[in-house]
Amino acid sequence: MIRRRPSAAIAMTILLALAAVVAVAGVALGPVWIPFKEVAAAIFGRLDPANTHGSAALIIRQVRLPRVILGFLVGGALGVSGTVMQGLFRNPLGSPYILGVASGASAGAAVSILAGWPTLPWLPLCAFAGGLVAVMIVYRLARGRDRRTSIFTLILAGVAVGALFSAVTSLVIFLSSRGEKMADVVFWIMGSLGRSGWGGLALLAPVVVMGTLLIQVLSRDLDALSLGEEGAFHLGVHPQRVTVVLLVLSTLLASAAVAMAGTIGFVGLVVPHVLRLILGPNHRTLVPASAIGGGLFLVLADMAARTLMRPVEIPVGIVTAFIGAPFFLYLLRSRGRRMA
Amino acid sequence: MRLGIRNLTFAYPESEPVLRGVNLLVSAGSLVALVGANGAGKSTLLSLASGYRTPADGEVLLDAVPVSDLPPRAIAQRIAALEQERHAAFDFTVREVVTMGRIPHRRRFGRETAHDRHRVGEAMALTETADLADRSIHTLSGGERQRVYLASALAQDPEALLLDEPTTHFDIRYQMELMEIIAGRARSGLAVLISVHDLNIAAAYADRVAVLAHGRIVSDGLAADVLTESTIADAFGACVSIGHDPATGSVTVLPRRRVGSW
Repeated sequence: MIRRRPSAAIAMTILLALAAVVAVAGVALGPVWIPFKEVAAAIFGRLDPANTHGSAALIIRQVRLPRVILGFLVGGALGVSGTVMQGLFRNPLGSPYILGVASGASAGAAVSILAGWPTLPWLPLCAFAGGLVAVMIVYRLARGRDRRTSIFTLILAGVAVGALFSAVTSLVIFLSSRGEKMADVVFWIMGSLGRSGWGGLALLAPVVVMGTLLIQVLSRDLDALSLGEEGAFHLGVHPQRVTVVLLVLSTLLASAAVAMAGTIGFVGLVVPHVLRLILGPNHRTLVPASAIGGGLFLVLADMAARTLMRPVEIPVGIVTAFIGAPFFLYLLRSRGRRMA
Repeated sequence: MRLGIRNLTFAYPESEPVLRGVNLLVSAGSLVALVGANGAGKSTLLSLASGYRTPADGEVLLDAVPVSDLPPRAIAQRIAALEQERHAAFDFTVREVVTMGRIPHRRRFGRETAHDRHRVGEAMALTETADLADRSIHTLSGGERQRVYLASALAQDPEALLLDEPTTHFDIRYQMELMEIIAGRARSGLAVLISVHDLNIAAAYADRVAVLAHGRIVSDGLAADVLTESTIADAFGACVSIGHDPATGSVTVLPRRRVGSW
């Protein structure tokens, strides 16, 4: 079978164009529909707040625009993180959610809330620490003595570690159930883009952008690692060192996403997988494509979450799970056997 | 270049040593076949020779430089190695896989140069994989895939080539095709060390045969001198008849069936 794949430049152009359309639509959509013209005007800031369009501008600047940007950053972080984890574990079923990283990060976030530090520098740091502990445990377990990662060991390790950290999170909920902290913790379990604000974005954006750029620098090493550790070594790549750096970076991205939006599952699974089918497995293209594609997917899912059961808004994590979990089952059925 | 393996000793954690003082020299322009029973330590020896594993004792020398002193990239610029049964986790195209062979020579942000493309094209021509360039590696037959991985190793433009059982699992035609390519590379100046199961393949193509048994090289030299009934009985615990191919003069190894042992 000849693989016909679009060139990287064409694919990135199409993805960026789609992202722009979805961004505008995401800002326009809501309880009050705001025409595209006013969306553009509000974003580029030509409106006088005193005139009749002022309230629309206010909604856009204070509520919808931060939310759409948060969606792109969180989705991009999850997409890139999933791409790296699939590459590192040489397995298209890897993702921050399935490997327990998201559970670890949300347990970290929950602990920081219980400890009384629900503030910006502490909460993301605790989330990162929790994610890092989770991924290190899974990595050590799944790597095994013969250095080969079996898909079943990997998923089982992810499930077990995820369960352990979910128990931590549940304990935190139980301990805080009489206080108003409960709503804070439940938010991290369900996953939502509803708590966006410019302050959080200012912290998240540099982490996501820097993390993605550093991963892009290592994209060729990721290609080499898909031949296995020994194969990568024979191509001049230091497998253990590169693996640790990439695990830390991808966990940083996933944890940053969790700290800002809770555990949103399956973005890191579905997005890299679909893009790899279309663009091929070359990480030099796949990493930036997953960054844009992840954002695109999450903002679309969030638009669905905001409108499907209007006026009630459902947590976006529920929408992505409804799309992603059947997709995961399909993958397990069609590819699991071959990859065992 | 000379690849020198000196007094190499290695044990896996919590096990008896696999290798106990192995000495072997592979010079530029020669093809050395490493033979030995299953579990004799051929793969271990090759992964030590490539620098992937670190010996407990002894050293691997690239000319006069210990491999253990070199970073992986510097090793990969001079040694190309294929581990047994390489598998690409994702469906790269053949050209992408062969181009990976250029990784040790490319700068981190460097684009593919004309020289890279030239080397890739040359390696694909030598291995007759050019027609497969746009195919997915996962859709190839085992024999085709092995030629692609060999092309990737050749695209590395190495001085030494280390191949772990490149011909196992293939029918005789594929084995011969691969061995012709490999022997051709040795003739053009590479130092080649390969492990093989088929003693006839070793005898037909190798300049030297080295027998690994009891953690050591028990015999090393021309096939005719090394592949004797007693050496094979000692190394493999197998009873064989040694003959000569009248057409080429090379040694042949035939299994000797037990007569009347029903």
